Amino acid sequence: MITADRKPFEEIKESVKDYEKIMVLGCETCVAVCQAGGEKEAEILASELRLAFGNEGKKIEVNDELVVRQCDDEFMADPAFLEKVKEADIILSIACGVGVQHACNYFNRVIKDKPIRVIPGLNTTFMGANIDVGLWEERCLGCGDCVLEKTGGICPITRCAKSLLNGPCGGSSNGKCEINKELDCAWHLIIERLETLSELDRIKPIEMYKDWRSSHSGGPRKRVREDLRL
Amino acid sequence: MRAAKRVAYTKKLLDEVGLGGERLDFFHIAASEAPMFAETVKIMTERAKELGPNPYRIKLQQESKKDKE
Repeated sequence: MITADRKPFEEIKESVKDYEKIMVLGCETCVAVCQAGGEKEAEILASELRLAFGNEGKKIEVNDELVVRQCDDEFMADPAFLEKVKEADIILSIACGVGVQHACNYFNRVIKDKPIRVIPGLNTTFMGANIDVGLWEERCLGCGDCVLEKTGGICPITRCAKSLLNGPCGGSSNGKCEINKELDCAWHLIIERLETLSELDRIKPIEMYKDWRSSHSGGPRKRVREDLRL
Repeated sequence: MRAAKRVAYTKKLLDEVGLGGERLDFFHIAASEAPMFAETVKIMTERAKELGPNPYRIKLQQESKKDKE
């Protein structure tokens, strides 16, 4: 899932201080699972803003709304919801960066008579897995050319600090990475896993340089499924 | 202990909104420790007196009075 952290409250407060009608817009998918931007977090943030501005004697109206996915038109197409969006002076989206951009584009595409301001309440962090209660770790960089079949299901692009394809490097010590002694050396993990699978031969061939054009280095990417297009 | 962590989180929220995290606290007191319970209640009562009423509630009451006038 995409993980995110809420921006510091002071930063959020500063970004909405000039508006009277604020809508905190939660997203029920990834950021709800990582407890940064779901229903509960939208309610808490709306309450915090009401209390903080109220405490300063400022009259504002803060409502919270929730959509299933802000990165998909169909979940925001409800006319009653769009009417509420139109009434707000600003939309404080607590979706990931994708959701914020998509909601902003969608609202301004379908609401013609008023420009809609959408600002982020979260800092989007990474694509990761829920490792333990309250713990998420980065697992995929979305490089567009997956090598997991060669590396025992452990991604060297994401989990090796140098994204090495032929590791480990000289900085690996007792299974830990030189950049941080808390961080597992991805190549140590890969070799251990392949040993367990009796597949160490998989890493014998030298991997040539990676073609990064399929990653973000090749510019913003687009995915088209012609069979699904209308 | 999860409750202690949640109280710490809520104290942070209270600080952020300007109401003061010290209005809320978490103590470990066994059922058999009645004197400690009484002492803790005294501590929190004294603290509440020092802090005074919730500033937001005072503002709301003032606004409500103004509206009635």
